[in-house]
Amino acid sequence: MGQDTGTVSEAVFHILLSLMDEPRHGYAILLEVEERTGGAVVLGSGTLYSALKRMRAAGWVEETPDPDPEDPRRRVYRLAPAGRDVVRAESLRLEALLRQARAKAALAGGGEEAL
Amino acid sequence: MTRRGSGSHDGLFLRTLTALLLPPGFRAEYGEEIRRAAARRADSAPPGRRAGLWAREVVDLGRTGVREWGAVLFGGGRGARDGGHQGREHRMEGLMGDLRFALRGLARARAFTAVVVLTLALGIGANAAIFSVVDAVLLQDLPYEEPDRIVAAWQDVTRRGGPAREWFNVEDYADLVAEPNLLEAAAWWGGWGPTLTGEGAPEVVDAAIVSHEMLDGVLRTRPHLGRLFMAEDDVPGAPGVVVLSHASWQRRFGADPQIVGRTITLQGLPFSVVGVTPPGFQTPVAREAELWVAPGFQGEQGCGRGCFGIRVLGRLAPGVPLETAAERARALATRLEQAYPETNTDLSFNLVGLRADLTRDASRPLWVLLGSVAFVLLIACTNVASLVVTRTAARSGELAVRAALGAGRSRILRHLLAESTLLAAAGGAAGLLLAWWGTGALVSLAPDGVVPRLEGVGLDGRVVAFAAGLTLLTAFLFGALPAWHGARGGLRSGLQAGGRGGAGGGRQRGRSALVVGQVALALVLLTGAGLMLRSLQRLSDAELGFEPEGVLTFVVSLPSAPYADAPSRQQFYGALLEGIRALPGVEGAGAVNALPLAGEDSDSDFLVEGEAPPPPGVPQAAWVRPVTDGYFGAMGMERLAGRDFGPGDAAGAPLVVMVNQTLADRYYGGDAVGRRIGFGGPDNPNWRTIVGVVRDVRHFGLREGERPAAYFPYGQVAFGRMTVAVKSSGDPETLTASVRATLAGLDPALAATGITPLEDRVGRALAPDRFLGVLLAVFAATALVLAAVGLYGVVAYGVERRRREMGIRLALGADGSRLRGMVLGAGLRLTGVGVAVGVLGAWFASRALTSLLFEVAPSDPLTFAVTVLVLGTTAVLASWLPALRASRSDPAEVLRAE
Repeated sequence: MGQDTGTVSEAVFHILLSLMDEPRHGYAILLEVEERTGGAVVLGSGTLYSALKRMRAAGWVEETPDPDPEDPRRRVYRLAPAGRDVVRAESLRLEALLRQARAKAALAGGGEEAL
Repeated sequence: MTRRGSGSHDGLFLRTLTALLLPPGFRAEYGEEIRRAAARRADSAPPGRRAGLWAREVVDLGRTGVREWGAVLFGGGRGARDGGHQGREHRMEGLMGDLRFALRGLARARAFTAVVVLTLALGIGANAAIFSVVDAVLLQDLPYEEPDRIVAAWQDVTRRGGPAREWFNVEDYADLVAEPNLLEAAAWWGGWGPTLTGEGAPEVVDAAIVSHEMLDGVLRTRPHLGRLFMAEDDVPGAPGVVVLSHASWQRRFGADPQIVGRTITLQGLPFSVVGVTPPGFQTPVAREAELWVAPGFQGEQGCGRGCFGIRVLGRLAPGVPLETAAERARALATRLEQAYPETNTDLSFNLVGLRADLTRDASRPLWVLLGSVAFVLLIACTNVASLVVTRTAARSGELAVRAALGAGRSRILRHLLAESTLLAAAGGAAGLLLAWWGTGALVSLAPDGVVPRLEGVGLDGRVVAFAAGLTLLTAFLFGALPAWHGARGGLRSGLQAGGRGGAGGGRQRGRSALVVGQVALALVLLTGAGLMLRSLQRLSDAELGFEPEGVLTFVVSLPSAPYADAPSRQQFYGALLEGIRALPGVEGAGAVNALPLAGEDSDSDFLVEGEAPPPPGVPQAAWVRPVTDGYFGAMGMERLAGRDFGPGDAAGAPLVVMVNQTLADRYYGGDAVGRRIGFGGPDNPNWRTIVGVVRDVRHFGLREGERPAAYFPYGQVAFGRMTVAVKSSGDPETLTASVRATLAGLDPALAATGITPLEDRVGRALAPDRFLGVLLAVFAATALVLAAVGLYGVVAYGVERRRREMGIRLALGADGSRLRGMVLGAGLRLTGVGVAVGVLGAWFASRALTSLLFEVAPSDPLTFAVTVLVLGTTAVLASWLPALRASRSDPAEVLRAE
């Protein structure tokens, strides 16, 4: 994937974040994202697996060989080192973006509340 | 986790959706996981949010489908970075841009947009409406805990030439219940219509007699007040106990909190109220019941093995699948056959899932209807695709310019798909509106009590999700092909043709193929509708054996309290009929225990004098019908031989009987009068002399031929519950009030129920066929119109394309009529191919109707001929108009336009 620079979509970022703590199966990712964002981000199942497919192709996530003890038919995904790098890079990028936005807002006299 | 048993149809829905929307590779890899996650999420949500979640999942699947198909069609394309729908940063703009652009384009082409949206709305709306009925009636769970474990148990007497769903008896039932690992709980039931007295005016209420495990064991409900039934309530001779439905407790007893312990009077007997069911609870059988009573009050229940007196519901033992249980039940029946050969020979047990059991008659017509509307939608899509192709062709110049300016093929494809998605969405929304209206119309059109569970029909999340899925599918069906064409072929030919809007012959061939398909589909639908209408006509013409015109019917049920003995009942009905006959406008009156087409009767084994009793397992039974004098006259039933009953045929006089033609022919070689028949069993046959033979009547439905029946004089056999038939000289309904007054004058504690003109009963027997026939006819007519429009469009388009050529031909002196013939011929050639394909298709498709048709073969040549004729005539008309225009082209004008 030559164009792996720049932003990642929100869905992809949330999936990566969800896999930061531990390997999860698809449904658990959906639940974790929904819970973490307080219901603000609800991923559809189609979106999730479509994204996982691309992320696997890019080497960001991999399937673990150990099946889910609760339901062995279900596949479990974990973060690959490349995926960790993406999260780090994306976080840095967002941080920088936020910094700039705050600076602008402060200059405009709006203070942080204006954001 | 335990999925609800309903997994099967939610699963089917998701499976269909993923199959339709996702490309095969992706589906094979992730389809199962997606379906599982979606179902699990919807299941874990509270019921109120479920529909919303479903809708969201369906939309998300649509988006995923677009993305994944895009990847398949145009290569990997996007990377991992925007795998999700929230890749707004740089994609939304493109998508929004496409949609805005498409919206502007459609707003400019108003007529095109209107026609497309209307056509789609019709197709999607009709499908959603029929689906809402199919869903509520056939797919949705019954409202009980683990409903898939509830079964109906029947005696299967098909080996005796009888039905596969015959009633049970208490003795065989006891063996079935005792069988290990089969049923966790079981109960038997029977309908009851007692007169409730002491609570205002006497009224007949719908009730059911249910053994004690019905409410809590089989249906797993809990009492709202008091208790449900217990084993001791079933013991013969136990005091009468009643459980009220919540609605009846509120309506009849003012929601009295002290109701438990009160005594009410049913059919003259005291019943103490022991409990009230929760709000909304209803038994799946005897669904109108307002109250349930335990059977103990009746005394002894058994009627012996071989008798069919009760109906049975059960709950499968945990973990036992229906097939296994059914197998065990059959094995038990085989053992009983050996143990009780004289009663149980050729008798098996038949376990049927309750939902399938309740909807068995409705399911085939409903699936036929759903299939038919799917055809209508296909035809509609074809028309729309045809229109879109034309429009794309007309815009090939514009598209070519855009391509030349650097728009990639995928960009143009996306633009065209955006257009069809918008059109489909508008069509889908309008279709839902139509469905909302159509569902109401369907429910009101549906025959009473024939389509079960209709009360659940309505637009809910599932129907909306279905319509949304359908919308996506149609967008794909009518959008993808033209868009593919437009993005590929349009670019080159558009510029080459100088942007004149010409189109390649390939496209015309594609449209022609679409029209052939349309004509074929329309023919299939027309044939189906034609067959149903022919069958309906045959049914309406069926020989009833009685004359329903001007006859008013009603039921009187005498309680045992003042009418315990036969003389009191005979005296009552004698007085009642005499009073009615004296009313002005009454030509005659009589009564019978079971009226034709009322769906009830009871039978008894009989012996033919001078013949050996039939071997065990060979049924020899006749319907038992006590009739008062005047009954045959009031019903217009023809006597074929012998005499009618007279006042002399009373108790103590020689025992007499009349038989129907079937019994006389089958057992007495047609010569029955004067011979004797016994209904009392081999030990005490109780011989009766046959004094007359009556014509057969259609008793159990218009389709069923009559079985042997015997009519008994009321003077010798006096039932308490009789149906009175009153023949009037005018409109029978005008007699209602005076009949009620006559009854009240004799006994104010009695109520007449089911006051209905006999013609209404006949109409009701026709209603299911009429329902199906009318709907199929409406769909077929829609299909015909759509196909005609499609054909017209293609022929007219062909003429338009060749206007120049035709103008030149005319200028060179060609004959107008020859040109007309040429154009007409083109239209008819397409029709001819379509008809050929359609006849073949109809030949196979009409097989699905076989079990629904009455005295019409699914390959009925007349229906096929008429259908082809109707379609052919329509095709000629649809081609004639463009042909006329072609022959009238003004050569000068055409050439000037160049």
